[in-house]
Amino acid sequence: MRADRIASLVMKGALALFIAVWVMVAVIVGAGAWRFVSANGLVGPLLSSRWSPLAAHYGILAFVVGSMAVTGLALVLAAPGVLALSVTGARILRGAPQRAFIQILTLFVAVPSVVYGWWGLSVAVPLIRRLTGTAGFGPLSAGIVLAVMIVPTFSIMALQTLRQVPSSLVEGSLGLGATEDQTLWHVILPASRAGLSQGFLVAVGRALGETIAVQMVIGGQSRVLSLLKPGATLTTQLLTDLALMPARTPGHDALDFMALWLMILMAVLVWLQSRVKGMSRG
Amino acid sequence: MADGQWRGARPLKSPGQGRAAHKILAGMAVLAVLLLLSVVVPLAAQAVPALNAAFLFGRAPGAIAPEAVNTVTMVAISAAVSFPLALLAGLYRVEFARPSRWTQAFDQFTGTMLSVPSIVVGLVVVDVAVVRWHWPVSTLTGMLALALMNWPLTVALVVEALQSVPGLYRDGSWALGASRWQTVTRLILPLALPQMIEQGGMAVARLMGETAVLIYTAGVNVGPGWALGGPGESLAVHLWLLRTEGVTDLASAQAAATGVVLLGLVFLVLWGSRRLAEWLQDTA
Amino acid sequence: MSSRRQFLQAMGVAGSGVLLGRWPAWAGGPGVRYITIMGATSCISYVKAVLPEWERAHRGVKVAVTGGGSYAGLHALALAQAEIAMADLAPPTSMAVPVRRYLLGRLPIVLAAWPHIGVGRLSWGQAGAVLAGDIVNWRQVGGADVPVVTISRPESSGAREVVQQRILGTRRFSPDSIIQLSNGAVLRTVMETPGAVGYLEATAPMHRVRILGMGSRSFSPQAWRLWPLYAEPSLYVRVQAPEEVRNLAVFLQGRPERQDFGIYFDQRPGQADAR
Repeated sequence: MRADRIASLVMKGALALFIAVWVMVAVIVGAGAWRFVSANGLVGPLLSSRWSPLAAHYGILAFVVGSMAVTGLALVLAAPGVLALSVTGARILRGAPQRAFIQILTLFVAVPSVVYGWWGLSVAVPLIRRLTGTAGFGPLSAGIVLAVMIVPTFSIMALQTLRQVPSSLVEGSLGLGATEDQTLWHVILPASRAGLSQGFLVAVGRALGETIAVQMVIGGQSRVLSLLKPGATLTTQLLTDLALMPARTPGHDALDFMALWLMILMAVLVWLQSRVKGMSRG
Repeated sequence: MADGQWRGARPLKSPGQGRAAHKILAGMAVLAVLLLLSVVVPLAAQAVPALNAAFLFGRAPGAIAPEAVNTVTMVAISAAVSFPLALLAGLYRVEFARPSRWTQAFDQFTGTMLSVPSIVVGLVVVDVAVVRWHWPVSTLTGMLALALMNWPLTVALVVEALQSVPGLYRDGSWALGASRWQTVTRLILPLALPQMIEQGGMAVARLMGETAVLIYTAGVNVGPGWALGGPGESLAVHLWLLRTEGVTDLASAQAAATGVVLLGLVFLVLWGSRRLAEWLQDTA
Repeated sequence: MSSRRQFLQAMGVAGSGVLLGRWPAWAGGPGVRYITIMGATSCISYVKAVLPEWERAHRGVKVAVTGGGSYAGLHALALAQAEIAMADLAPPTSMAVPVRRYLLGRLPIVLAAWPHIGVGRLSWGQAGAVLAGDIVNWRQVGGADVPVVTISRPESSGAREVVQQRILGTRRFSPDSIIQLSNGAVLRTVMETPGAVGYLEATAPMHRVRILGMGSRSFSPQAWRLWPLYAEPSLYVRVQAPEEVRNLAVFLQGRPERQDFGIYFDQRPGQADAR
C-alpha cells in the first residue's frame, strides 16, 4: 500500500539520520582520540598521572582511577539505602501508601544533579571537614553526593523487580514454614537477581557520567587516589579543561581520548545490561 | 503478605515472628527518606529570604526571569525537535523492521548513546558548532546540545512503550485487513501514547536540570532580551554559578531560590505529563 | 539492500552537515553581526557592566561574553572563534596571528585567607612555602593551630601564571590545593573553608576574608601603585579585525568604570601599542 511505503520511507530516513548523527559523534571523538594515541601512545598516558596539558603532559591515570573510585564508593554507600527503600516499598507498604512512596522516589529521580551538588557543598563537605580535619573536598565527599543521587534511581528499579517476583514463589516459601525474613533473603532477593543487576548497572552509568555534582565537591587535582585529598574524574576534568583547550589546539585530542574512554565504558555497561536481560528471560 | 491472607491454614509461626529484618529495613528506609528530604527541605528553607516577586519576575539585575525563560524555551524547542524525530525512528524500529541481529545492535547503540555523559555531548557540540561552524555561544547552540542528548533517550523510551503493546493486537489488526500504517496509527500509537508521555515527562525534566552540557554552549550570562543568537544561561547553570562563586549573603539565598524555582518547574512537568497520560488512558 | 543505501545517504547528510554547517543568518535577524569576547574571568564583570552602553549605540551587533581563562581566550582569538580576547598574559610566542593589544590597566593580585588564621602578613618566602604546600599549619608561621588549605585555579588562569612566576618561581603549587574554576569560586571557598588561603584578583569586595600583607607592603586600593603583585589585563584584537571590533576594544579600554572592578589605571588616555 502506498501510505505504508511512504511512511516506511520517512521513518527509515529518521532512523538512518539518528544513527548517522550519533555515529558522527563517535567518529569525531574517535578521530581526536586516534590523533592523540598516534602522537602519545596508548599505554603511556594511561599509566601516568602527570596532567599538565600546557606542558604537554597528558597522564590520565588519576582521572580513570578517580572515576572508578568515586563510582565504587557511591555504590557501596548507596547499597544499604537501596535495600531498605526497595524492600520497604515492595514488601512492607501496601495500597495507597505504596503508590505515594513510589511517586516520591520518582520525584527524587528527577531532582537535577546540580541540586545534589548544592547539598554536597552545604552538608557533605562541612561534615567531612569536621570529621576528618581535612578540607573536605575530595573523592569521599563526591562519593557521598553520588550515593545520595543514585539511591532513588536504583531503589525504584530494585523495587519494581522485587514486586515482580511471582507470588507463587513467595507463598510457597511461607507455606513451607519459612519466616518472612528467610523468604526475603533466600527466595525473593535471589529470584530478583537479574533485575537488581540491571538497576546496579544503570546506577553505575549514572554515577560514572555525572559531572557537575562531582565537580562541585571533588577539588580538581590529578592525584591517584586519596579519599580525603582533592582528586578528579574523567568528567570533571573534561569540564575544567574544555575551555582551556578548544578544538584544534594541541591538548584537545587528550580530551577526546578521555571522552572516548567514557563512551567505551558506557558501551560495556550497556552490553552487560543486555546480557543480564537475556539471563532473566532464559 | 503472609499473616493477613493465611486465615485458612494454621500459621506455623505466630504473626510478627521472623520479621526482625523487615523492621530493621523499614527503619533504615525512614532514615534514607529523611536523608533525601535533607537535600530538598533546607534548600526551600534557605530560599525564603530571596523568594519574592522582584526576584522572580523583576527586570533588575539578579532577577531570575531571563534564566527561567531561557530554560523553558530551550528545553521546549529542543524537545519539540527531538521527540518527532525519535518517534519516527522508534516506530520503524518496532513496527516495521524485522527483528534481527541488526535491531539488537541498534538497541545497544541507542543504550550506549543515551548514557554518554552530557559533558561529552558538550565537548562534541563545542567542537562542531562553536569551533567549526562559528556559532556564537547562544541559546540556539544550547538547544542543539540539548536536542542531541535528548534524542537517544527519547528513541529508547518510544521503543519501550511500543514494545509494551502485546503483539496479539497487531496480529488481530492485520487479520482484519488493516495495513501496517493503519495498525500503527489507529491502534498501537493510542495504546502506547500514555506511557510515552509519562516517560517523556521524565526526559524533559532531565533536560531542565542539565548543567554540564550548557556551560560552554549556552553560556553563563543573559542578554538584554531573549534571542536565538543571544547568550542563554539556564536556571541550573545559574544555580551552579551562584553556589560556587556568589559571595554575598544574598547569593546563598538566591542560589537556593533558583533551586526551588527549578525544582518547581521539574515537578510541574512531571505532574503535568502524568495527569495527561492518565487522562489519555481514561479516554482511550 | 535499500536500507543500507539510505543509511549511507544519511551518513552523507550528517557528514556534510558537520563540514559545511554555518551559523544560520535567520537566527539573529537581518544584518546582525556577532562579536565574541572570551578569556580572563577577572574582566568579565567589568565588560558585562559597560557593554549595554556600547550595544545601544551599535544596534545590530550581538556581543557574547564567555570566560575560560586567559589562555583559552588567546587560543580562541588565534582560531577566529573569538573577536576579542581578554588576557592577563602576553600571547604565547607560538601564536602566529598578528594581534593588537589594548592595555586595560593593572589588576592587583592578593593572597586572601580565612579570617581566623591568626596571621596578617607573610614574607615572600613564607608565601611561596605556603602555596607550595611546605607549610602545612598556620602555627608554623606564628598563627593559630589550623591546618593550611590552599586554593588554586586551573592552568588556564592568568592569575595562576603571575603567582607562579612571582612567588613560586621554579616550585610547583601544592598537589593538595583545591582547584576552583573562577576567581569568585576561589573567594567563596576561602570564605567557607577553615584555614584556607588562595590568590585572588582584587576585583570583588573582599570583606569576609583576610587580605594578607606581603613583605612590608599592605594592600589598599588607594595605594595600588605600590602593591607589588599584579597582572596587566589587556584586550587583544587581530590586526585585520573589522572596524567595529576595534571600536569596541577602544571603548572598553576607555571606560573609567573599570576602577570599580579592580582594574586600576593612570587617569590619562590609554594607548594601544601594536605588537
